[in-house]
Formats: sequence, C-alpha cells, structure tokens
Amino acid sequence: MERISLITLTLFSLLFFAACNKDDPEDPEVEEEVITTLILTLTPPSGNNPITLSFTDEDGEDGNAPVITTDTLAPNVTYSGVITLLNESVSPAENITEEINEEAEKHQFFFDTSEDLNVIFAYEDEDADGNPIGLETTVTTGDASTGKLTVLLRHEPSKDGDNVADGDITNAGGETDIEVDFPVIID
Amino acid sequence: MLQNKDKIMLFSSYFNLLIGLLCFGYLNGFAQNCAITIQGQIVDSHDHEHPLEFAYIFSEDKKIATISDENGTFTIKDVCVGEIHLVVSHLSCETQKFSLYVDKDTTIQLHLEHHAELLSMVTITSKKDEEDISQAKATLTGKTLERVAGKSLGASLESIAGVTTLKTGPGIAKPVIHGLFGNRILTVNNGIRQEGQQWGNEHAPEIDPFTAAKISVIKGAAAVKYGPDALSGVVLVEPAPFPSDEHLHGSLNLVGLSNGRQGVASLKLEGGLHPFETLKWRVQGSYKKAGDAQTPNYSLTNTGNEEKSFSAAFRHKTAKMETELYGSYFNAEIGILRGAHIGNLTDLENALNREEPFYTTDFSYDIQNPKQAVAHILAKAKNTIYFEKGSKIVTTYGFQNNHRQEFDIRRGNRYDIPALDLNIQTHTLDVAFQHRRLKKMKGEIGIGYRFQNNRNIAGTGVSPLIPNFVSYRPGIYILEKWRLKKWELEAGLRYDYQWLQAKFFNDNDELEKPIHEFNIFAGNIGASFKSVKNFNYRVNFGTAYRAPNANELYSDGLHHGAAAIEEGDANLDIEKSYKIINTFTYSNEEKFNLEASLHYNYLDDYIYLQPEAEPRLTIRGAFPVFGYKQTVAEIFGADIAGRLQLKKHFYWESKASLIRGNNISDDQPLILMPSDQWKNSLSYIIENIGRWQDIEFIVSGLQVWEQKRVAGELDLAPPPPSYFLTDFEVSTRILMKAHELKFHVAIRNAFDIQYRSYLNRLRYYADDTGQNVELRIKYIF
Repeated sequence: MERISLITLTLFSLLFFAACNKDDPEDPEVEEEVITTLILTLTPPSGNNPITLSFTDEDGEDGNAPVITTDTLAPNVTYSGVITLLNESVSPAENITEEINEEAEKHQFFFDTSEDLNVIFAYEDEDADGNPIGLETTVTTGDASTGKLTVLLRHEPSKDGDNVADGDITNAGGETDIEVDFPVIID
Repeated sequence: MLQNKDKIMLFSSYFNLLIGLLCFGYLNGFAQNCAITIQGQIVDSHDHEHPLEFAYIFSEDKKIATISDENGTFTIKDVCVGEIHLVVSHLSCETQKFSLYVDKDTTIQLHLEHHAELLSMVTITSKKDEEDISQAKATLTGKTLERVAGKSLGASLESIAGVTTLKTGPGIAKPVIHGLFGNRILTVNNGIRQEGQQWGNEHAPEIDPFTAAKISVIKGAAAVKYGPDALSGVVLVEPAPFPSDEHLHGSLNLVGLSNGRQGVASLKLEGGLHPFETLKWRVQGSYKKAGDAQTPNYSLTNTGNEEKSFSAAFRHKTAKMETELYGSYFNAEIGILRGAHIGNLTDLENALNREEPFYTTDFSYDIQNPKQAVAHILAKAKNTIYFEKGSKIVTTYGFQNNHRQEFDIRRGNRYDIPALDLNIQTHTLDVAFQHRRLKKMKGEIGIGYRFQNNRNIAGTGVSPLIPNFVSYRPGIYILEKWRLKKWELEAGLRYDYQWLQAKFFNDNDELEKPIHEFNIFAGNIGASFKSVKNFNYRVNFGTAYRAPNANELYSDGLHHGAAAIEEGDANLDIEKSYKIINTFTYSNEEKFNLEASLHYNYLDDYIYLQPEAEPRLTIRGAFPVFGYKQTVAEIFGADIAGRLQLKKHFYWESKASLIRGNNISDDQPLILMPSDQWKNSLSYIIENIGRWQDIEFIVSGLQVWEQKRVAGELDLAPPPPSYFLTDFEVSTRILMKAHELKFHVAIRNAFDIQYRSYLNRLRYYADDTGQNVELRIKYIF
C-alpha cells in the first residue's frame, strides 16, 4: 500500500513537470515610451537659416555616449523655438512630440540658463487648462556671451505651483523625463 | 488519494465503531457506567518531568474544573464511559485540548508546552529542541505571535534579537537575519521553500502569517537540511498540528490598527470527518485592508494595501502512514509612495531636500500607480511512511506559481499596462529517510529536486529586468545527530547540482540562450553542551554556497527607484559562506533567563553592487552605474536577550543586537548593515481579576542608533540619526468553558516620534510611520 502511494505521488508530480511551458520567448519586447532624440529648432524672424540644437542617445542607458550638436546664436534676436522629440531606435522614427501633446496637462518644459548666458525663454503654447507646455517658445538673445542651456521635461508637475507657469522649476515637482545640457555661444 | 486498502480499513473501522456504539447502547440500556476515576498529572513537555502546579483542567463533558497540585496531579471522579474532553490551561502555557476514550479507571499524563521565557517579547530557544540542537533559534508562538497578528511576515519578526527588516514603506517588509536578506536567507512555508522573485529588495515574502501557529528563525547556516541559499538563516512558518479530536474547532482573529486605518480579519476552522477517525481538515482565510500610512506630520500618499488569502489542508493518518494535502492562495496589491517615484538624480536631490514628499495629499484607501500586484499559489502533498522501530520516509511534493506585476507612472494610455510582469513556476520533490536511533546516532538521508521556469509576460512595453530562464537542481544530503552524556553532536553534508538556462534578446534582437552550471556544497557541524544545571552552550559551524541569481547575472537597465543603472555580470561565480554561531543560554525558570549569541560569517565571492567611477549620460540626465561584482566580505556580531524577575509578577526584559559588516577586499563597510539596537521592557502580570486572566501590562522602549559605518559613495544619502520609540501594551484573556477570548491593546510609537530608519528604502523621501493604536481580539473555539 505504501509503495502504491509513493508511486502515485511520483507520477502525480511527474505530470506537473511535463506540463510546464518551456518555450522560448517569441519576440523581443518593443520598448515603448523611449525618447532618443530632442531637437530644439530656433527660427529667426526672417524664417531663413534656422538653428538646431540636438541631443541624441540612441542606445539609451547603454554605454555609447550621446551625440550633442549645437550652433552659434546671433545676439539681440528674437527666435521662435520649437521642440521635437523622437524615438529613433525604431525605423521609421516615431514622433513622440504627439504623445506629449496628447497629455499636455501632464507635461511642461523648463529652460535653465547659466548665469553668463544672455538668453530668455517665454512660453508660446498652452494646454487645455491654460497652462504652458513649452514645445513652442519665444527665445530672445541678449549680448554676446557663452554658457550652458539646460532643457528639462517634467512629467506630472504641479503647474499651479508658485511661478511654475513663468518657467521657474523650483516648485514644479513631478518626475524628470528629459534633462539635457547644451553648450551655447551667442556671437 | 485513498487506495483500496485504505478504503477497506476505513470501512472496517466504521463497522467496528458501529458495533462499539451498539454495545455501548446495550450497556447504556442497562446502567450508565459513570463510576470511572481519572487520575492525571500535568508535566512540562520539554523534559517530561517537571510537574506543573496550578494548571486549570476543565472537563467539557462534566462541566467541572479542577486544579493541579504541587505535584501536578489532579483527579476527576464519576466520569462516564466514553470519550472525555479536557481543556488544560496554565499561566505561560498555550491552552491545550486533550481527548481520549475511557472505559475504566485511567491514569494519564498530559504534557503542556511550558515556556517560562515565552512571556512577553523575549523568545529564547527551548533547550531540548530535537530538530536543531546546535543552532540559535528563536520562535514566535502563542502570546508572542498573537501580539503581532495582522502584521506582515517580515514585520512580525522584528521582535527577535538579530532579526531586522528591510522595508520599502509601511506595506513591504523583508526579513533580515544578521544583516543578510533576499536570496541569502530561506523562507520555508509549511515545509516548502518559498520561491518567488526574492532577489528584489522591494519584494516581500508572499505568505499570510495567520496560517502559522509558530514562526521560527534559525540564525545560522542551515543549508544542509533546508537547501541551498540558507546562508545566514531560515525563517520557518509552521501551522499548528491538526486537532486530536474530530469536533469543529477554530479561531477568529480581528485586528484594527489606527495608522493607515487598517482592518484585518482571519478565520480558521478545523476538525475531523465523522466517522472517519483518520481524517482531519482545516480551512483558513484572511483579509486585510489598509489605507495611506501616517507620519507624525503628513500622510504617506499611496501606501495603502489590500491582501486576500485562503488555505486548505487535509490529513489522513494511521499508525503506518500519514498523507497531507495543502493548498494556499495569497494575493496582494501594494501601493508605493507616490513621492518616491523619481526621474533622475536631480529629482532625488530635490526629494532629499524636501520635508514632505511631493504629491502628498490627504488620507485615502485608494491604491494607484506606482503599485505592486502579486499572486502566489502553493500546493503541497506530503506522505510519511512510519516503520515499526521508529524510522520513517517522508516524501514532499510542492508546486508554486508566483505572478508579480509592477505598475508604474507611464505616458500615453499605459496606466493599466504593467511595466514588470513576471511569472515563475517551481516544482520541488524531496524524499527523506529519517532513520531511528542506531546506538546513539539518529538522522536522515535525503534527495531533493527543484525545477523552475521563469517567464516575462509579453506586452509590457519595457525591456525585461531579468531574463526568462529554466533551471533544475537535483541534490542529495545526509544529516546525523549523536546524543552522548553531556553533549549532543550533529554533522551534515549536502551537494546540489544547478543547471540554469537564460533566454533573452540581445542588443541586436537576437535570441541568446546561455547555459550555466553550478556545483553547490553545504556542510554543517554542531554541538550542544549541558554541563551545569540551567546552563547550555551550543555551537554551530556551517558552510553554504549560493549560485548567483538571474538579476546578478543579467541585470541591464535603469533601476528607477534607486536612480541608478545596474549591470549584471554573466561570469559571476558561486558565493561561498562560512558561518559560526556560539550560543550561551542560562535558564532559571521564571527568575532569570539569558541567551547570548556570537556569530561570525565569512563570505567568499560575495556579490554586491559597486559604483563605477564615471556616471553615464542619458537623455534623462546623468546616472551612476552600479555593476555586480564579487569580493571577500565578513559579517559578525552579537545578539543578547534576557529576562529578569524583579519581584513576583514584575519582570524586566532586555534585547540587544550588534552587527558589523565589512567588504574586506575594498576595505570598507558593507551597505545596509543594521545599526545597533537595544530594546527594554517592563511587564507586570496579574494572574486574574474575576474572569479576566493573565492580565499583563508592558511598557517598552526601543533605541536604534545611527549607522555610522558606511561607505559614502555606495549610497544616495547618509544614514538617518538615532531614535527612540516607546510602546505601551495590555493583554488579557477570558476562559469560557471550552472557548477562549483573548485581547491585546497596544500603542506603538506612543509619543508619535518623527524618525527615519536606515533600512527603510523610502527614507530618502519621507519619514517613517507615527503613532499606531492596535486592537486585537482572538476568539478560540
């Protein structure tokens, strides 16, 4: 009797072993929500020769260094600025800017300049609540100078925080989805 | 699973019972035989000698009670022929029920588990613990377990010296034994090794503590008996034995906790199946609902949780064989502090400088993203065959299915799509031959087998954190004990072979299926020495190997909660641990008890995360990169627990633990080593006021010192300062005929102290919990 029980137990368990799904994974998981590229296009009033600042990190968190391109801005000019976000890890490249627009209330761009750099950013776009987004801006340069420009994208910030709608990140909170530094020369 | 022979046996038992009943009826028809005298003695179940005075023996059938004298003896007269039911209780013992059939004058000896040391919070190992004679082992059972009812498994173990918890907010707690946790300790749930995603620092064990009547912690390397991975210790979750009679018994637990406005309820029912004497069953279910926890100054938004669990057990037992079937289901949804979800290091810095985390709102029961959802199924079949002279063969089969999902803050309409979706299935089969005492030697030889299949469920839209894998691990072991005059010795050896195949897509989207093979050894030598009365010395030296797990081999990506990139190393070697633990115990009944453990653990090829010199730049900002590396490490320390009777009924208990951990190769302290702790409590016991019995008042204070031994660059922020917490507790019980009602009221962190704990991973973002008023009612029937 004992032997029968033991055999039953073993058979019972072997059944389970056989039933396991040991198949290989079918396809690689496609990373959604990836932003590889930020392009800031500054167009002068004439509409000719727009200036492009771009940050591209194709492999994301992996080791290859990102590629940053920059350009020289003219002094005392008012540019209109436009931000484009892309996912270039897929082909054709995916335009993430649309996703930001679809959730405009949950996103805001901030522009931080180092002390020596004479540049001022002003918001030109709005979400459904009348708060700025920052995909479209007016960029006014001052006298010749050099410095650093940081472009940040915050997800779910508190747009009602003090001075946040004016572009002050101090009380914005939220999570940073993008933080890129551009060396900028105004000459 | 009843075989034909069993069925015949059952039928004949039934038939015999029927005849018996007829005979009884026949006798009854003539004259009720109620002239039987029961003479009994109550003794301590540990040494089987020590009589227990003032034990209260209640006869359920006659509805009368009697009290045992200084020899532990008692008499019950005029008992009728038939089955008698006695309920025996004693101060500092668990109430126990006994039933037996009598048809003439009978003398019996009843054994009660009497723990002088088990009152209040100190839990000192009993000296004659057959199972682990040389290990340092602490147990929560009876009162000590009842007082933590409603807490998670990790949180319940905090009162044991040498055991701490690694928390991620109030809803997630992982047990830490002597500084090690996760895959370096083993949790055994009703005889089955708990298998889930234990590698995760925010992954708490998926076990409902209400299934346990006893939770023990073995504080030494116990890999020979319990399997690889038990480097630093084992947490044993054990249910109560099945009741000895067939009547319906059970218990109802109700717990209310003010912090988080938590409600917990658990019901257990157990009994027999008349007229099948050999069958017993038990069902149990629990439900917990908790809202946002509160610090002294603000709400911890999104730290609520909800837990549902259910278990059923069934046992068939004869003199020759015992078969047990057990199944349990555990389901939890756990919120993660909203303000702890950060994007990059700048966010972290801002969080470190904030008093109150971002996104803090008023109290709510809502559980939003970020959150965890985990479901765990366990099925167990155990068969024990008893041989005449005392040997037995135990065969245990276990099946587990663990499904863990993590929901994150995501862009687009991806709120309900998990960012992590892992399913791991485990099958285990263990066969152990436990042989009877041969001359002075008793032990067991066994083989074990574990099969695992881990899969990432497609559709997350996020690269898997750990790869799919399949692994199998057969093993063999031997463990023997010798009982000599003043010494008891034990020695054991174990070998496991582990084969692991990972399956993942590389950067070029090609499928890679690398195979790993590991030879895992474990060894154990221990001794227990009793020279002088009341004094015991135990020493255990154990070695355990641990194969690197999937995350250590293959991690590749941003660990959001830590704002760091982690990278695995597929060439990691087996971790080898050598641990020695010395335990000195002095026990003088109620008057004075002391246990001190000194431990030293040497870890070769210890796997840890080491930061690289240069941070990595991504579109999200710069992140530190941590790689899994191996080094030589050591962890050593002392646990001391004592209890002194100051006056009659007035006790002082004290518990302290110190741990030091070093990365020897790099000459720096190990991260996440618990800081020094010392807990003191005063308790006063009133034996009874009217029907209220065992009224105990306790005031306790816990001092936790700042962890000053840290390597700065390994951590995001320096450890928090020291703190002191005060608790007040009252407990009592009412014995009603065959039922019992127990009460426990506690005020934890009574003075609402604001503090942060080094081992709470949310300490970067928020304070720990404030005052908590706890109310517990337990009804036993």
